[in-house]
Amino acid sequence: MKCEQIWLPTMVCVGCLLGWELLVRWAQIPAYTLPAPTAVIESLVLNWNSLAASWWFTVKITFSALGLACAGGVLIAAVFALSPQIERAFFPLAVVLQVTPIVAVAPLILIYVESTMTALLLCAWIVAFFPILSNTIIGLRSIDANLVDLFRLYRATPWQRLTLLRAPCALPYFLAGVKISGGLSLIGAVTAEMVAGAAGRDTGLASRILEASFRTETPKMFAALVLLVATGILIFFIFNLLSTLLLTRYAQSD
Amino acid sequence: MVTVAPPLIVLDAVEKRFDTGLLALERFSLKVAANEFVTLLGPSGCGKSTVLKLVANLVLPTAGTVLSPAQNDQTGRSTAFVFQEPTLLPWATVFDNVWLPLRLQGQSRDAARSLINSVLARVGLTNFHQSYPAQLSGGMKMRVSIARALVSQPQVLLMDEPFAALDDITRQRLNVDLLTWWHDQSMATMFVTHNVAEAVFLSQRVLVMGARPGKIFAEVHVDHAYPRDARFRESTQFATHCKTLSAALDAASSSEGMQP
Repeated sequence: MKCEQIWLPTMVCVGCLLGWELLVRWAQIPAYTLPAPTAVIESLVLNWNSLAASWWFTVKITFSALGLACAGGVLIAAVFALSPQIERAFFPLAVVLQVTPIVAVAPLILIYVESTMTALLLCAWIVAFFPILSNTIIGLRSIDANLVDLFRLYRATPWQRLTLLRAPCALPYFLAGVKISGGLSLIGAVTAEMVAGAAGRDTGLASRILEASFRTETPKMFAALVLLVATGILIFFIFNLLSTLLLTRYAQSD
Repeated sequence: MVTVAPPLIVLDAVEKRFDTGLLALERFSLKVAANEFVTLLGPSGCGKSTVLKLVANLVLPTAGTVLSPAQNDQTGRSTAFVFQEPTLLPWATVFDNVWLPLRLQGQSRDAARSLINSVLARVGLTNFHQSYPAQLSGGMKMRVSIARALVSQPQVLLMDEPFAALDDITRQRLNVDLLTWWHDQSMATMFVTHNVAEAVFLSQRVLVMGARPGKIFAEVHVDHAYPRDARFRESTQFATHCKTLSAALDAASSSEGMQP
């Protein structure tokens, strides 16, 4: 079973890549239309310096936005949990932020915010914070009413209630939110940079893709794409691991 | 039984109306002495749990007076509550769950260790300190819940149908054990159930409650000496008490049906 879980998807992946390579060679498709996987790897190696610097820029934006989304989402969820009135007043606003397509808002944000870096961060944050907010709210609400009574009976202080009851109760929900937001903040960072169309040294992978597309360097576009996909997968695995580590004790309670 | 000492818990003409408009209790009066074992027996929805929450000072009456140790208790040690569900922290070990009341009062794990160990030994969980609640059976989880209640050495123990979800053998074993713990620790115990045999086996006094609004319908004293064991369950005295209580419970339930 375990073997099948690893080998089956690996074989499908390798099979696809092999088929792609053979198709390109057999049909003699030019590289500017569809580069073969080997051509993509070649381009990745050739352009490594510029791609790696851009990758690092995108990673920085993604993780900063995610960090801010965690802080913001949890803080807002805590305020909402403390005051249902504030929640009623402001939750629709959070939903508006969530449902507005980021591609449509990004140009506006780029007008209002002076620094491109800040604008990119803001865009990624808007995309990433909502799953954390809504999940944490659900977590804070899922607390057993009898446990709340028990803490009252034992004269727990508000701080004890937060650290010993509310926070551990909300943790699994929060982590589920972070898992979703991790991927979203990467999407937000890339989308915003696409819209910004920034050029120059201090730019991310989205700018490399745009540049390469202007010059019809299709292999380089694919190379940048490969890095983005790898980053997304890496983020997914990091947070999966983190949540497994933090929730071992909870997992035993399933 | 004549109790000379002033009662520990007094409910006098208590009325409780919830925000929904539901009148849970009306002119409800009750006295419980220190160390007494009193059971509230009644159909579901008759306000039994509300009585316990009033005594725990978790809800306030809309009229009448309630006097109980929980009211002027700054430390939160006077009263313990055992719910129908074990209500444990799923992310904490058995040891840490039992530590909770002491931890909330500022006791470190080390300071509380010997007390927790002795309580866990008494409830029969010596080898399960590091287990998590999900690894335990229903009966064992309830033992953890009771250990958590006993560890703060309360004056008042409130139990809201604690064994209702357990199978009969586990329930009977826990009934016998509960009497031991009650005897060892001498605390006023208020026990809620809708099981007649359980009420007779455990209590010195059984109050039969009727519903909507909740009031005391009958009071039965079970004058059988402790310790009680399986033989008591087979005695004619036990059967007589059960019959009396069943009749009273029937009357209480049918009177509810007649009132719209």
